[in-house]
Amino acid sequence: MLLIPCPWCGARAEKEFKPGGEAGIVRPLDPDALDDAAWADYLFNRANPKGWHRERWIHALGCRRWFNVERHTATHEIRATWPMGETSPDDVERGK
Amino acid sequence: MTDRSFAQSPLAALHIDGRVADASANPGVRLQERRFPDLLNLRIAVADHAIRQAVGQALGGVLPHQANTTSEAGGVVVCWLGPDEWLIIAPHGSDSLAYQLDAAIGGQHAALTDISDARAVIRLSGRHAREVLEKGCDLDLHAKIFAIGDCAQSGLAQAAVLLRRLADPAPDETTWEIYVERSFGTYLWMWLEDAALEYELAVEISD
Ligand SMILES: [Zn+2]
Repeated sequence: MLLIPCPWCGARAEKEFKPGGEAGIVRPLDPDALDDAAWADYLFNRANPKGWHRERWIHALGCRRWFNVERHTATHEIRATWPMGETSPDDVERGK
Repeated sequence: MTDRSFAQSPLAALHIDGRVADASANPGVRLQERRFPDLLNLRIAVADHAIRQAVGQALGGVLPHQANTTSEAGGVVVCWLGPDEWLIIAPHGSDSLAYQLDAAIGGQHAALTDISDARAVIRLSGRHAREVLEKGCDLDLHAKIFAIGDCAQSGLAQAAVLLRRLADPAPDETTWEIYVERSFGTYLWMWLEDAALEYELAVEISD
């Protein structure tokens, strides 16, 4: 079981959370302008890396807030969590 | 908020008051239903400091800002539920409170919802109260971590609950209130009774 640090509640058991897939996917502003391939890419295709992965989780049994997690998909190590709409601690450090 | 004479306990089917006489002489755990507190769910946009302040004043104090803590003033307890969400717990019949809060919000963007009849509230206390909770909850409930006045939403025996720690009734005892969705009340009470069996149980008359 993972111990996931909710940005508000602190470390909680994994079963209090639900995953929401890759983070940072932007919905196209004008879907009608896209061809089928581009729309399908937005809907279905994900990076699915072996390594560090930015993803969304919701603290479903706790504060019920969505937030971002940076997790290593092979080791399950979590190196950062941060609220929706904010910059990741990594990016802040690198001045992005 | 329902007139008390019409209100029916979510645990009515268990007839718990009829079992008070069965209490063990030296119970390690005491269970009690807290009947019909007024419960208001409040949501205010995270950045809206003006409404937060106005509502805090109407509550006789401030809205708890720190995650998983409560504030208390004049018999009204406010639990932090999320960065923009609180639960207000008031004695039954505090109807004017909702109007005061509504006036404080003053037509601005916020949500105030009466959920009094949507919850069952169970009070658990005694020398072994914490051990009973630990059988079904992943939270660290040790006194150093979960202090008096703290609250937390989590799972207890698969049910989604809000757990709140009250003042210790005696040096070696703890007291907790469990807020659970009404339809889970009967199940959770029975689960708690079963978990408390080994510590000797006393059912107390409903409050
Ligand atoms: Zn949380």
